[in-house]
Amino acid sequence: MAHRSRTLGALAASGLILAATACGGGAASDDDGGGGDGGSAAADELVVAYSQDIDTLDPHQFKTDAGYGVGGNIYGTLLQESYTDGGDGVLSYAGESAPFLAESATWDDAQTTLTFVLKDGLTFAGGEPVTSEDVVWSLQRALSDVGYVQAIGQWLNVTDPATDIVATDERTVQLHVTHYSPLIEQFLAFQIFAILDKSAVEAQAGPDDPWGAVYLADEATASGPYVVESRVPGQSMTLTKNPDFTAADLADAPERIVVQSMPDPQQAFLALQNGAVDVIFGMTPDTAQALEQDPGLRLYDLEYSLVAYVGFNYEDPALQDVRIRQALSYLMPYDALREDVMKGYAGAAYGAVPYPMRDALDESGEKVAYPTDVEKAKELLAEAGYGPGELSLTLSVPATDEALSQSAVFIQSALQEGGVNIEVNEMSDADYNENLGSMQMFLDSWYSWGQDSVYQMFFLLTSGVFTNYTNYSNAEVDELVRQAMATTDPDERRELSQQAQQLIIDEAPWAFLFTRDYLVGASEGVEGITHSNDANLRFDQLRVAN
Amino acid sequence: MLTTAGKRAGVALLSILGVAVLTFFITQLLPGDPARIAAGQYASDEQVAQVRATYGLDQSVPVQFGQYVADFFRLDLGTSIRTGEPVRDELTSRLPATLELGLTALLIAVLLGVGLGVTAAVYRYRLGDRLVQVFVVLASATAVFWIALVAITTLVNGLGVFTSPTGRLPRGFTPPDQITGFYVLDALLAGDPQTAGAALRTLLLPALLLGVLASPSIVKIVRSATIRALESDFARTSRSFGYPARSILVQDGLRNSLLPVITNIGLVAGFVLAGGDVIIEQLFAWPGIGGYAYSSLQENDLFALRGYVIAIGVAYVLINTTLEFVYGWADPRVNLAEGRS
Repeated sequence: MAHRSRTLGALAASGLILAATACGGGAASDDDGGGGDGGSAAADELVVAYSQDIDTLDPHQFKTDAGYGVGGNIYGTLLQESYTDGGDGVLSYAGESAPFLAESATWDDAQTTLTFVLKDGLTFAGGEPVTSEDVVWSLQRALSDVGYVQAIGQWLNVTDPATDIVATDERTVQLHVTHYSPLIEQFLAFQIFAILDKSAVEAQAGPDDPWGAVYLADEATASGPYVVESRVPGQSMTLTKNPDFTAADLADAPERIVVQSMPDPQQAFLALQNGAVDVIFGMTPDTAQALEQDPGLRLYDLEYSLVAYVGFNYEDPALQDVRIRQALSYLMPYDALREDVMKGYAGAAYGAVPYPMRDALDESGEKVAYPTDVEKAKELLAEAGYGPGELSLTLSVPATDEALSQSAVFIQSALQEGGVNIEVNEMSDADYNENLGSMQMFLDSWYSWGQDSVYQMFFLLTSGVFTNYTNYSNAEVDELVRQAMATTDPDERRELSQQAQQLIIDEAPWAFLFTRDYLVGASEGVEGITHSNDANLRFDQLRVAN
Repeated sequence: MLTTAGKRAGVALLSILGVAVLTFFITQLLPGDPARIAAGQYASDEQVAQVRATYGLDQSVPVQFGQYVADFFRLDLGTSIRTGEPVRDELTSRLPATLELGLTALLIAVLLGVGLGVTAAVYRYRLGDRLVQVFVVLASATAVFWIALVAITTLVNGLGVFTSPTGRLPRGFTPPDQITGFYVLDALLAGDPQTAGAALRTLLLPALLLGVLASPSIVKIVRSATIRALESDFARTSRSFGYPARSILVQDGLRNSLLPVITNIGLVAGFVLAGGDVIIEQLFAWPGIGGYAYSSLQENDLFALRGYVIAIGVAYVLINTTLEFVYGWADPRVNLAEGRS
């Protein structure tokens, strides 16, 4: 008996080791040969890693970068951003949108009707034709209450989607707007205005779900360059080229894209190093710095107007005094935040509309509204009646954003030197998001799709808007933004925007800290990284250089 | 025997119900408004209110609780606010990954724990025992995220022993047709040893780490229980009859030290399936319910979190119920004491 028990244990142990050794050896040789289905990886397969999982395939309900990334590549849009190839592997926004599923997009003389004619012979994956009826329904869905896209949709200047978006024939759609805006064409190139298969979705919709949200959460009838081949929940989604896609030439596009979930940034970097992934979308400054030391890898450092700021709540008595807000702004350690926290992958933020946002006051990305000046800050604090150590404030920060958490520590230290006591309150994302608008001071970052100054100020700094988390209210700013939204003259729009920007800088509702670059890591040779206005990769543009 | 089994099943069901009730009230205390998060950053107050109504979050707590209990008895865990998918489906689709990792880690922990524990007992106060003690201290004190990083850097990127942690299979392999949900087994059943090998090499590193980190408590229990048993009267009697040392170790030492060891293995099973698994799954991009729970917690996905906690609670109850029967098998005196025969 005794010996039998021991033998069983030994067999179990040796079996595991033998299995690992035997099977492992076989798999190792496959990997050495490049991997593959039972052996080999196709040369034109690219693995793109995101830090989050694909939450949904619904283009109007996504919340993660991965969800947006997939949606932006499986659904086509009427227009698409044009890019210029700078020869450095980056495709930069050329400043205009070009027809994509549409063959043409034409404004009438009054610039109140935009007419789209669909390309001939377009079909969804599976062969159903893309019709003007699909386009109308898709745009109406985007502007409906099915998701939060409705808030962005108001920038299309459509009064009533039911009557202002109409199909005039099988291939023609008219969009009737109150007035022209440069954002209309720009936004129509974004995935949120994806063209969906109306009949496929409506077949799955019901009285409680008229827009088919349940169906679209995990099903997609592609109208774009890629279709969903398979999915392992929580791990990956494999996309393959859409064989029915005719709106653009996909001859040089990768055959397959594997969208991989890699929640830990360090592991994602190691996976890039050993070739398990080809592209990491959205790296942290630390891993980006490490990546630059590896000659087999390449960092794409893309400048964006993703602004990091400290918001001062106007409902707090101490922070209602502009001298206090300006003093706090003068105490911020801008250089240390850009160099030590962001490792240099950050730009200066001159106001709430930083470079490279359209119509920004700063055209170079080097200006700082309130450069660090401790003496000046102390003077302002004294004028406001606060001696050293007499002002104590709480700074709230989302714990999961490593860069912001580190920034909070630097800010606490810098303000301490200026005689201001700061208590840092690290909060869970859920807690933080719920309390936006009521926190005394908070560290946040914000990116406006389209990088438009008026859009940015409207959402963040006009009175009564729910994303105005500082509760800042200035009638003059409100009026300037309103006029800028209403005008069709780009020069006038710019002038109005810049007046509002200066007023905001003077009143310092935020401390304008820095702009965060988008950091994309890639294996050497991977090119075609799109520097797009919605900060999304166009998978069909990715290439592997020989 | 049947009566006892019935009682055990009844207690297990009551325990599961208790877990479900506690889960509801504990998740009510979580900070953050799930409806606000579900509606998104751009959502107006009206849209948030609409989301709240859709998920029944606008109802009073007693009404929500009543609905929750009714759904629970229908095995309906609600719809994930984050993904819009039924929580039960999401959990069951991810459960095989967690079980494959957790059970492999448990096997490693048990083999390592029993092996090292016996070694330490046999060579107590000598070099073998000291080395085991060093292992126990190191394994207990090591931070999982740090050792995982070191392991990947050396064993994956450096030596190439294991494949990169990008899920359950390395690049280029497609998942086998699902039979058990365990990739290694399914690939073997499909006659595809290459995919089975690739799956095993991907599985082994996180399982080894989880198993090693979970093993110290088993080592300590096995060591002390075995020393006690070997110093007992019956072990001395066996020695006086001239039985071989190995036989005495296994029959008198190990067999008589089984009860506390089994109890501890039950606790370790809970740890590898719930506690340690969340971190390991996150670090290794392993698509199980631990990673699902982490994402759900980040976004205050109330229904997903409840589903996860209930699933883990059920797992604990099942483990403990199973252990009750294993006790009787390991030591018939337990059955006698309970009036079973």
